[in-house]
Amino acid sequence: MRKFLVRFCLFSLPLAVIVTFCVGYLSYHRELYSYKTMARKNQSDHALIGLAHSDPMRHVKQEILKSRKPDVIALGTSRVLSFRDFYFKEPRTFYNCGRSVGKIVDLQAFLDSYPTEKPEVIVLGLDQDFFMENWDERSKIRRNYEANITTMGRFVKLSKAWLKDLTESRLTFDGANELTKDFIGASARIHHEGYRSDGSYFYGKWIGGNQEVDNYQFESTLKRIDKKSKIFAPSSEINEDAVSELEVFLDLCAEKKIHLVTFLPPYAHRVFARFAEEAGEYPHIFQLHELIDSLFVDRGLLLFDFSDIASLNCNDYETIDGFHGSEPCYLKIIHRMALKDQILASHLKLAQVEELLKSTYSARQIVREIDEQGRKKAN
Amino acid sequence: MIFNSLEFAIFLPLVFLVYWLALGRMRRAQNGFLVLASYLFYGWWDWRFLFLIFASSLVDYLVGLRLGTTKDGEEKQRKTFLAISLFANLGLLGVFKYYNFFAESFADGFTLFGHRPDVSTLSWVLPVGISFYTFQTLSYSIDVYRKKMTPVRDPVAFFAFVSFFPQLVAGPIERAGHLVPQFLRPRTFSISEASDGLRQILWGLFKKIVIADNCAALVNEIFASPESYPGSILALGAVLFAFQIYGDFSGYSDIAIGTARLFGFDIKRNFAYPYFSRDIAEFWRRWHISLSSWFKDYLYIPLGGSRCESMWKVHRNVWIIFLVSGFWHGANWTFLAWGALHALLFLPLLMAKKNRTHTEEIAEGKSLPSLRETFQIITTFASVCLAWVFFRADSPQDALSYLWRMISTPHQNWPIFASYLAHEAFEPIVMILVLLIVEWAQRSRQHGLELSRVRKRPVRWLIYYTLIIIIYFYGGEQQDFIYFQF
Repeated sequence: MRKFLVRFCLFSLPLAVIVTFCVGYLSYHRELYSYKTMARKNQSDHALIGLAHSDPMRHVKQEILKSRKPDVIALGTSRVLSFRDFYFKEPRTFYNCGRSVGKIVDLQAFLDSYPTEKPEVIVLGLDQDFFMENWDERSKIRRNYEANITTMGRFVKLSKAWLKDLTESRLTFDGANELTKDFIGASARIHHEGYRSDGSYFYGKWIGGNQEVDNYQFESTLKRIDKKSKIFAPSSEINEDAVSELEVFLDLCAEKKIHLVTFLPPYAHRVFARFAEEAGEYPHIFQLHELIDSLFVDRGLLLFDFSDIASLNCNDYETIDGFHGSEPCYLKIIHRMALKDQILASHLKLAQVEELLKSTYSARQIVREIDEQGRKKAN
Repeated sequence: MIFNSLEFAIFLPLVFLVYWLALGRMRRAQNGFLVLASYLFYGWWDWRFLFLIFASSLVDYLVGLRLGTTKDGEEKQRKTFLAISLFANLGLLGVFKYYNFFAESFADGFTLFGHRPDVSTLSWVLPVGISFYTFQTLSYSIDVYRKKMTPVRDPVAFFAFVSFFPQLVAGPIERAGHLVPQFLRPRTFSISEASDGLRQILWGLFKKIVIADNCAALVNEIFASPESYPGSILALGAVLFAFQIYGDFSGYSDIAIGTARLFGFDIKRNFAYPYFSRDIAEFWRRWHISLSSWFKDYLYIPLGGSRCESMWKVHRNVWIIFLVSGFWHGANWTFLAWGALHALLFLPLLMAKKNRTHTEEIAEGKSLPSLRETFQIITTFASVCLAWVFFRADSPQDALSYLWRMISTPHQNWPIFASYLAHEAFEPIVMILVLLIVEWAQRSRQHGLELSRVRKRPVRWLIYYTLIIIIYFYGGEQQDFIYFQF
C-alpha cells in the first residue's frame, strides 16, 4: 500500500505543482468565483468584473437580472456596452445586457430564457453583420443562457486559457497594491477594466491611457477590413433568413408588450468611409436601414441608423476603436433616440444627459468621475 | 456525482484512503463505509433517490431471507416471495420510467377513433441508474429463488452489494452470485490490481472525454438540423454517434471496473471491442455484455431460447428479447425500433445456424484482419450505425427522415463533406483512429491500457502522461453520460 501511494504521489507531483500554481494564480485574481458570487459582489459591493481568462458574463448577467428585475435593458453585442445607469431617473431600473447576444437568432433565445419578468423597454443594438449573407455559417445554434458547465469543466477551460497566457508570458501579479473588494478578475485588478454593476463596460485601460498603441487611426480595424475577416467580410446580399428572424423577434416583443428602441451602432467615420469605397460589397451596412425600416414603422417602432459616427456629430476621437463609440457618442445616441421616442424619454433623466453632453472637455472622464462620486457616497 | 467531476476527484481518493488505511483489516467496517460512501455518491444527485434504493434493497434483502427459510414443497410461498420482489422492482421501474409512456401512447391510440382522452402524467424526475440497480437486485432474488445461491444474512454486505458506487448508476449490472461473495470475504490490497485499475480508469476517461464528448458536439448539431446537411455528412453523423455512445458507455464501464479494482473488487467485463465484430450475433456478445447476459439468463433461456421445437417460438423469443432490451433503454418508440432492427439483423443468422460462428478472437495471432474479415467488420459496423440512428433520434419518424435524407440527397456535395471533415470533424476522427489502433492492438486484453507487456516504468509513465495531455487538451465540452438516463 505504502509503495503504491509513494509511486502515485511521485507520478502526480509534476501535475500537482502545475495545478497548485494555476489555482493559486486564479484565486489571487479572484477568477475562480462562482457566477452567483460574482453577481452578488457586483451588485452589493459594486465590484468591477474584469476576467482575463474566461468570459462567462452572459451567465453572470442572467443571475443579476433575477435580482435586479430592470424595467429597461440595453441588448446587443459589445456595441451597446456604453449605455449607463446614470442616464436614467431610477438607475437601478436599468440594466445593460450587452454581449448577451452574438447573432440574430440569439435575440429570441435571450428573450425565451429571460429569467424574470420581462422588461418594459429594450434598447436594441442591431449589429450590421447580423445580416451578412453568411451569418448562419458561423453557427445557427442559439445561445444557451443556462450555465450548465460544471466546476471541473469551468476549471479546465480556465486553466487552458491560463496555460496559454503562461506560455506567452502574459501572467502578472501586478496590481497587488490595489486589491480592494471592488474587483473581480485580473483585468479589473490590473487595468480597472470590466463590467460595472449596471452591466455596462468600463474601459479602464483606455480611460487610464494605458491602451497599447496598436490601433493608431484604426489601423487594426482597417486591416481586418482588408483581410475581409469575420464581421468585416463583404456580403453579396442581405440575408433573408436573418430578416425573417428579426421579424419573429419583433412579433415576440409585441406579444410580450415590450417596447423596442432600435439602432444600428456606429463605426468610426474613417472605418465607415473605407466600407463606403466599396459600398456595393457591404449591402448589410449601406442598404440595411432602407430594407428593414418598414418592419419597424409597421409596428409603430423607430429604427435609428447611426452607422456613420459622423451622423451623430461625433468625430473619430470620440471612439474606443473602429467600431465602438465612446461615452459622448453613446450619450448622443440615447439623447437622439429619447427626443423621438417618448416611452424611452419617460425613463431617462434627460437633463443629466444633456448636462453631460455639454461637458465634452472630459468625455473620457465621465464614467470615472461618476463612479468615484458614487463610491465616495457609498463609503 | 459523476466520474468526470471535481467532486468525484476529491471523493475517490478520500474514500480509498479511509477504506484501506483506516479500515484495512475490518471487512464489516469496510462494507459499512462503502454503503455510506455509495449513498453519499448517489444522494449527490438528489437525496430523495436514496429512499428508492433503500426500499429496493430492503425488499430484496427480506425476500432473500424469507426464501431461505422456506422448505421444499412450499413452492407457492416461494413464488409469492419472488412475486413481491418482481412487483417491487418492476413496479418502481414502471412508475418512474414507463408510466408516462404508456399513458400517452394509450391516449394517442384513441386519437385514431377521433377522440383523445385526458390522461394525467407524472412529472417526477427519473431516478439516475434505476434500471441498473433494480436489475441487479432482481438477479439476487431470482438466483435465491432458483437456489443458485444462498441468501445473504449480513444486511450491510447486501446493502453494499446493491449500492456499490462504482457500478451503481450505469453498470455493469453485476450478478449477485459473482459480487456478493466478494463482500463476504476479507479483501487484501494488491498493488498490481490497483495500478491496473488506475490504468483502466485513465483509458475510460480518454474514451469518455476525448472520444465521446468531442463526437457529441458534432452529433448534436447534425441531429438537431439534418435538413441542413448533405447525405454524406449525415452518414458521418451516424458513425460519429456510434463512437460517441461507445466511448461514453464503455468509458464509463472502464472507469467503474477500474474503480472497483482499487477497492479489491472484480467486476465483470461489459465491453469486448464490439466494433471489431464480424456479425450481429458477435456484436451482441461484445456489447453491453452484462445486460445481454442478464436477459439471456433470466428471460431468453426461461422462454426456451433457440432450442424450442417450434420455429414460431424461436422467432418469438428473439423478438421478445430484442424488443425488451430496446425498451429497457427508455420509454420511447425509438428504442423499440432499435431493438426490432437488431432482431431483424439477428434472425437470419439464427435461421442459418450461424449465430455462433465467430466465437474466437478475430485475426488471432495476426496483426491485421484478412480482407474477408475486414469486409465482415465493415458491414456489421454499418448495420449497427443504421440502428443507432433510431436510438439517437427523437422519434421513429425523425430517424426515418434522417435515413431517407442520408440516402436520397445527392452526394455531389463532396467538397462540403471534405471541408467538414477537414475543419469540423478532423480532431474527433484522428482521435477515433487512435482509439481503433490501440484497441485493435490490445484486442486480446481486458482493456485498452493493459500494459503488462511494457516492462520499463519510464515508458509506461510516458504513455500515461501522453494520455493525460491528450485528455486535457483535446477533451470535448463536458457532457452527461448517455446511459444515466436509462
